[in-house]
Amino acid sequence: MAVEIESEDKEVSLFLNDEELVSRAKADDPEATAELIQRYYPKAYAIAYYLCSGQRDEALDIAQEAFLKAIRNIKNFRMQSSFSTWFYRIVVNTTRDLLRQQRKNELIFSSLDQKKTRYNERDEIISEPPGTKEADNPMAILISKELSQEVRNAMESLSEKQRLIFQLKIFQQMSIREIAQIMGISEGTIKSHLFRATQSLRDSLKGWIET
Amino acid sequence: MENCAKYQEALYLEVYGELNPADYPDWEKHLRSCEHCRKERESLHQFLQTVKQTIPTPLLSSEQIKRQVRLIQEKLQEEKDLSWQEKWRRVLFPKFAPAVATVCVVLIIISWLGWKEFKKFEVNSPSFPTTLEKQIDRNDLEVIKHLEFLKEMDEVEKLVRLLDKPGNSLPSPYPEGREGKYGGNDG
Repeated sequence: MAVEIESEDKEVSLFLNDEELVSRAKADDPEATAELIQRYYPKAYAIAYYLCSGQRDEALDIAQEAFLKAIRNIKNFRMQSSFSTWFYRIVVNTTRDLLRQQRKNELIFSSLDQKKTRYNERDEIISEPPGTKEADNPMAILISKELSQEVRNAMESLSEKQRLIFQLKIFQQMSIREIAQIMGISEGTIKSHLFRATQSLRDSLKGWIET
Repeated sequence: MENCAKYQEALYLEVYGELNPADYPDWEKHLRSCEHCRKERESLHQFLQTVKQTIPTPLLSSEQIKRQVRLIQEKLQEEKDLSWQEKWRRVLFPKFAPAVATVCVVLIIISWLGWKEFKKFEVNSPSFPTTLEKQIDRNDLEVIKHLEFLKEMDEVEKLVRLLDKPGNSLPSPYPEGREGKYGGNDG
């Protein structure tokens, strides 16, 4: 009987909107908490993945840490913005904290080797080049791999803010208003960073992508 | 072309899917008459598509997501089960551990140096006699103890020196002319 009630609860939580789920999570409802995590985990992971330059394990850790922070503090969330905005802000801040920490560590240990390893890891991640036809052609695969490396390098040449905004807009398809809320800066500033980032990437990738 | 700079923002916003609906008619009107902007729009659109395709969003399987949900819930439950002291220790310790360690090291160094200085002060201070001083004191006490004797010795020495001087003869203990039977002249 208890199992039936539990499974019913699970199904109910599936149909609840974010606000209702948050209200339940605030009242320590584990089903609602689980549903919130399940709903937002892929997006949190994707954001972290792009922001930490394609490091899969770190992205998983960041997403997990962001959820722990969010659930611990959910009682302080006053629903003035949507849960997604509030939560993505936590994801972005967690990622930025980690990147800062990494930069500090790199400065301390000045690890050139570490950088090399990271690039190698990235190469492994890019297992499938875009387009099915290209997959059969080794030359196309090579070009595609090189191109993706060039894109990553170009992205890393952007300032942290520009990169973050570009990634949230282009890869996560967030609206400028949403990004402004997540980052706590004006829409005008977001637009200007976005234009500059796009322009800078176009300049960097001129030989690679015909524009 | 002169007008194009004016429409630059509209061009970007349209490609990002952010152009205000109220601005569309004006922008479309310009687009119809401007081949440069049409090409630029197409090129920008193509560029962003390529960039997006180059770094595909990683997908997680539903199993992976479920595992992560379980992990997070386990961690949350673990935190709930902890006593408040343990919670504080976990929150504070990792953050302040390096600071606490540094403070401890500094305190150890300061107290060690301080102790050395204190010991130095002890040696120099007259109120803290060392073993050497104690030894000196013991010698002094010896001297003081035998001071009378030493004074006598000193006087005897002076007397001996006086007598040893050439031309000095021992004065006779007898009055003049009455040297007696032991007098030099008796001999």
